Amino acid sequence: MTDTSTSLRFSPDILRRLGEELNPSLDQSILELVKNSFDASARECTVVLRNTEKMGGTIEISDDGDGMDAEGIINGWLILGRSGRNPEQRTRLNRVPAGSKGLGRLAALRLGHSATLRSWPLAAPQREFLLTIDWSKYDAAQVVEEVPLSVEGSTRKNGGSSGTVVTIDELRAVVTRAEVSRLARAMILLADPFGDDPEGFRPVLKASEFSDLEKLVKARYFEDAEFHLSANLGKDGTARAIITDWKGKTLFSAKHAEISTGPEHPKYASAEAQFDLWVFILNKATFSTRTSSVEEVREWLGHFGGVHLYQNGLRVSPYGNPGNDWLDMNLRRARSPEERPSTNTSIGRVSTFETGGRLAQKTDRSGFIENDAFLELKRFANDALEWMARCRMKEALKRRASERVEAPKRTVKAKLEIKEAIERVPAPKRRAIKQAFKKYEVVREKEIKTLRKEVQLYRTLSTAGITAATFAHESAGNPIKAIDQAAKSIERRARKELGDRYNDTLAEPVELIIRSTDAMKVLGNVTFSLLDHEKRRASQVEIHEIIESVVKTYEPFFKERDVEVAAELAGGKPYLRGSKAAIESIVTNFLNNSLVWFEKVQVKKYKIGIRTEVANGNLRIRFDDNGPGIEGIDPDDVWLAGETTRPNGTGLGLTIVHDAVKDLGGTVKAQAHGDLGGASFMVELPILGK
Amino acid sequence: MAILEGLLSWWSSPFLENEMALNIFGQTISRVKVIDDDPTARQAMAFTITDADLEALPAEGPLPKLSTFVTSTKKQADAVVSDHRLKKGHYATFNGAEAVAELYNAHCPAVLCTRWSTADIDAIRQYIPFIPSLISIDEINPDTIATGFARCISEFNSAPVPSRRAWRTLVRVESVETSSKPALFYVAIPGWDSKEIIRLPLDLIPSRRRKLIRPGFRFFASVNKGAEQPEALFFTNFEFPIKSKSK
Repeated sequence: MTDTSTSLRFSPDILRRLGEELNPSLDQSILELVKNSFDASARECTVVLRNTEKMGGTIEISDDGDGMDAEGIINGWLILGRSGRNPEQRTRLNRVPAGSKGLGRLAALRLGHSATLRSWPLAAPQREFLLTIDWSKYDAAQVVEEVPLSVEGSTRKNGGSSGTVVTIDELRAVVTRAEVSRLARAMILLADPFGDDPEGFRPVLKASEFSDLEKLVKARYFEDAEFHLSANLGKDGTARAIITDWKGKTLFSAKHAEISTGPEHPKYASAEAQFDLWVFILNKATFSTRTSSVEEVREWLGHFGGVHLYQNGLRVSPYGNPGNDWLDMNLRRARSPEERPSTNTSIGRVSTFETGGRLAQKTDRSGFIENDAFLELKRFANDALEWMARCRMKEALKRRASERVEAPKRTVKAKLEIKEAIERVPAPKRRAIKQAFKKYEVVREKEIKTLRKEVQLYRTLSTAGITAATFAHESAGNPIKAIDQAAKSIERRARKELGDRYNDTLAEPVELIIRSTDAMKVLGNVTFSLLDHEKRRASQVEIHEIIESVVKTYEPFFKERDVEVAAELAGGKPYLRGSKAAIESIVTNFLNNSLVWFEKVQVKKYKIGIRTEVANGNLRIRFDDNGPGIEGIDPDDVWLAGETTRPNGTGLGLTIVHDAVKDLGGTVKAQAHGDLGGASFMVELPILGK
Repeated sequence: MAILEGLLSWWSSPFLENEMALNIFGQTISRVKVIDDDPTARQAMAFTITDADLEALPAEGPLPKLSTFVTSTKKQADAVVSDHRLKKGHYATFNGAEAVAELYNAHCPAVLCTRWSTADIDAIRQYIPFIPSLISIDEINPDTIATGFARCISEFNSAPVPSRRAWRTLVRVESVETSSKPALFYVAIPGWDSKEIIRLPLDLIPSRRRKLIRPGFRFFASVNKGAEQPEALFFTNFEFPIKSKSK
């Protein structure tokens, strides 16, 4: 009888699949080896890159941890795919092990053509255990099991302490500067460098990128933060939080019900956590009383800003990496900019402490599995941010109220001081200074008046907008609906009663009513459409689509007013990231502007031209009309709020255009008379693609 | 729709003025209650109903509580045309979608008129399974009202039109917006239109399952994939993947 007993065997290809393909980035792979050092109770772990700027270089990872003997290497380090994490178990330094399935380690070891492990166990540091893996042997083998590995033991002559050194030789690829920078950042952030534990784990990368960043991280500008949010999520799922100012004074505090604001204030079903966020106000005025400069802090935040996530003392990537705004701070700020931090103006960490395995990391180390516990942790952090925003909004409201009272008093006092100072100036110069100051006062007064006018206009227009929306809803819902239905009813009944005579008698006036009602419906729809919440969401916006849609909406008006609109749009679908509302504001205000000015001139046919062209990564949009052109005002001044030559004009339409274009990173210019003889406006917007 | 409309049989005799009625699949509709919180709009709707050779019964406010209203309406009228917004001037304590859904459950044909604004659709969405006839106010006329009643009756007879037939469908969550009021989520339905993103209120999802809704999450629901407009889509019988235990 033939012996048919066998076992599963693996092709060497599986090593590539499990290693490089599951852990594609160099920094994350090396980080897995650094985490092994953490689990081995190392205090220091050093990564050295030698000649890695070219092929065939070497990476060495050494630590002062507990080391391994032959048994530890064979039955631990060499076993791939087993979860080594026992959350109940602690390391010698009482750390919760980061654990590793060994796949990142495999990816790291395979970065070179060979890898060597040397280890000196804590129990017998004079003993050295050596293992070498030559990957070329695997490439030649049919199955993984064919390649024998052996751990060689020897005794060190000069003694020494415990630890492990892993050397990856003959690298298959060069390590790019970007990869070194990412590795440096990842290593610095790995063990919460913002914490105060001098006995903590300290990974070091021997590279200039690392020392620069390390210098930066050590700078610790926390005391220069304007606010510090400290929120705690307890074992029982309840939260509490405080906000302190830069002097450490408590400004606000909250209990669970104020943070978890949903109906019945649900508890957070997640692990215990602490969320700290330091918020900076990056302007010169704020930093005039601080020890550091605004530039220093800005650079520091540029490298480390955002909210990082730590689990039992070790950072979990990618939360807080550049581009990873997992708490949507930038989105919230974009939606309501006042008093909200962004990842460029704040730094923070969410530290979770748990051994129950509720928060589990994905196998490819790309963050946590998004299970309920993780989503609840995120909800806790989001709610804490929302609570902080509410507190700061209340504060801002109070501040504005007090400013309104205090500002004039301060102005009077300052004026008095200047006048006193002038009196002290020698008589010959005093007169000239007095005159200059008087002139300054006049100019300033004018500026204040303009600003007041602008504020008043914005308020008036906002009120007009709200009222228009209410009326649009009311009229569309009721009077217009009633007129429309009644007119159509007259039409039906009259056709029935009058037969052919209907066309000669009632058809014309009834059609007029129906047509006018349609025009009124458009008016309402335009108002509604402008207020549509969806349009204010930041998204990818196709500019041509919006231009066409606005022109279509305006069609009934154009028809009524005998206006011909010629849109010559460039080929393709140029798009940018912004809000539909912003593009709509631009197009709508230009069209409105043309429509109102057409009333001032008599021409055979009113014309509006819209032309677009793509050039140098920008979309140029040109609006021309054959109205009276820009007269009585410098074309550069048409953007100023309140500046209008039209009686009862608000002078805000073009200001809104200007602001919207600026918000989108573009430019806008006005020309008194363009191709069609009337006003001409050229908008240039940077686009992402076409 | 053409088949359905073909099945509609109209009769209104010019010689028997009192016998104004519409016969749909054997069900006679002659009296139609008109619900609208604006008296002028109510009257205008009554004109349209009269033009359909039906008797219009404008409902004066304030209306009683919903259950009482449904019971009394069943006695007084054969069908209903209702506006969605009804709360102005204490006219009603419920909105049109709630009323039409309740009437549907009581097998009373009812047409709901709306302006199709996103806010209205958000409020209506959960009732759409019980609203076979959701008509834009711009499209209200004797024909659309009659077709609307016919759609209701065909559903009462377990023969929904193709655009109202629900199929088990994969739904993918694209994004979630919890800070808006109401909280919203956006989905793609590859089996309906792979490009269109549909906005839905989060309260459509049973409360204990809401936390599952996040970008990339997929679930099954019964969806009327034959709907032509995203606003007419309804979602029922949600099936969420069995939660895997984290290691």
